[in-house]
Amino acid sequence: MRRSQEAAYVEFATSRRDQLRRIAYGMCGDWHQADDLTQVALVRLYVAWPRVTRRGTEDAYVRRILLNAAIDASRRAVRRELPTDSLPERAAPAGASVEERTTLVAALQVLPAQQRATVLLRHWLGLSVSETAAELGIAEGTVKSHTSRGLSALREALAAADA
Amino acid sequence: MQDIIERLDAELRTVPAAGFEIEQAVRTGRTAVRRRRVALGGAGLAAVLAVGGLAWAVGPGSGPDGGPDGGTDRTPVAGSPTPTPAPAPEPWEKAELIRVDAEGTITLNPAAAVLEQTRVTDPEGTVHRAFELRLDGQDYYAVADDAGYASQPLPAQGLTLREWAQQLLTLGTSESGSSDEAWVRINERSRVRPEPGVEIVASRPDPGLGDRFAPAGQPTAVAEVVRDGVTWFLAVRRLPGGATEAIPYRKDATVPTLSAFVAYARTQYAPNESGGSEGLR
Repeated sequence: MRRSQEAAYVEFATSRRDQLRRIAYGMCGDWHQADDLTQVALVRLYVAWPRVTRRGTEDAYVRRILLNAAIDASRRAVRRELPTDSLPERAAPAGASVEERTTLVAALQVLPAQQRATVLLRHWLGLSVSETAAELGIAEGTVKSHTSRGLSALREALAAADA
Repeated sequence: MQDIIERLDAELRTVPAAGFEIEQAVRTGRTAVRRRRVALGGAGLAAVLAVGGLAWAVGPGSGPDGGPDGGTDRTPVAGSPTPTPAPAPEPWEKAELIRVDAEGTITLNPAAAVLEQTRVTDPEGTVHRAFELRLDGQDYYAVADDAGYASQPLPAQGLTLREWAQQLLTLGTSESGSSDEAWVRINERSRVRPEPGVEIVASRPDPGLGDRFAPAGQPTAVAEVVRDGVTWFLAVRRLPGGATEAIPYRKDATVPTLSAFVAYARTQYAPNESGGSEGLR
């Protein structure tokens, strides 16, 4: 990769890192695993960077990798660590307070993985139905039904938590 | 709706310090690119590789599935010759079909039998590998590229591997009958009416597919229909706002009757270990 391309990658990755970690956390409910998933996505983005930037699809591409990885991990319910060139200098973050973690993000984890991803993309990131369908590789009708059922389940969880 | 968005926003607003630096991703990415170049160079030799009992040729159009789409697939396959010995792979987890590593290398679980494989091109021109695999007695469809993979346990709506992969990659707009345009309409009394070109052979209102399919009180039905001479089963539900969603399943040996379809759909919408359900698609 040329130096200018790598500089553009670093700028992009730095600016998107926390947003990607939020999405990953919403998908898995664990900041350690969210960091692993985000790092996997950013490494794969690096490899594909010249091709992806030609198409101008950096955001969609890296989110797709992230969501695929999260859905796959969720399906197998197995956490795997990402091998890296060096050890982290500090322990992974402890995350938000217990009170903050025991509401919607916890409720999200009960939803099927694709439903969880749909709710996050549609109602947290604000993507359209067609954009969400494209990123998840599912039909628009499926996005609508996942969204409807996912929100219903979250409302039930909220009502129970508030009771 | 707004309450949920606001609470999600509040919960996700506070982000703890990252457990990794971008420089780590850059270093790992550089290594991956170097390895990938070596792998692609090896692939150019079109060497026949054996990967845990699987064997196929690497290189444009040289594989057993090297059809019309084969000429542009440059995805390296695990096992490509490299000048350095590969580290011992991690054990495969249960139901883990495929790995796509940071270099974009696709590796099939050596314990999985490849029943069929093909290549499918998405609307952007990217070639994806599609597989029908058997692992631990369960058959799966899977489609993979350098960004990851998606899979579904069979039966997959009665679709062939190519149809399923194309549906996945083209967002369900194929002619296989799985588009968003419902073939029937359902009213508030759970009665279904055909759209033009569709013949309803049989239908059952409110078949009890469970609240994972539709909340209690929401009109639902199943139907056996014929469209273009092909028999399909439909799981039909009325969406909020009154629209109809009809999920098609093409009749096959696994699900040959409407009763069998009802039983299968109930299984698919039963709660699983994670509290969700598999669904029909």
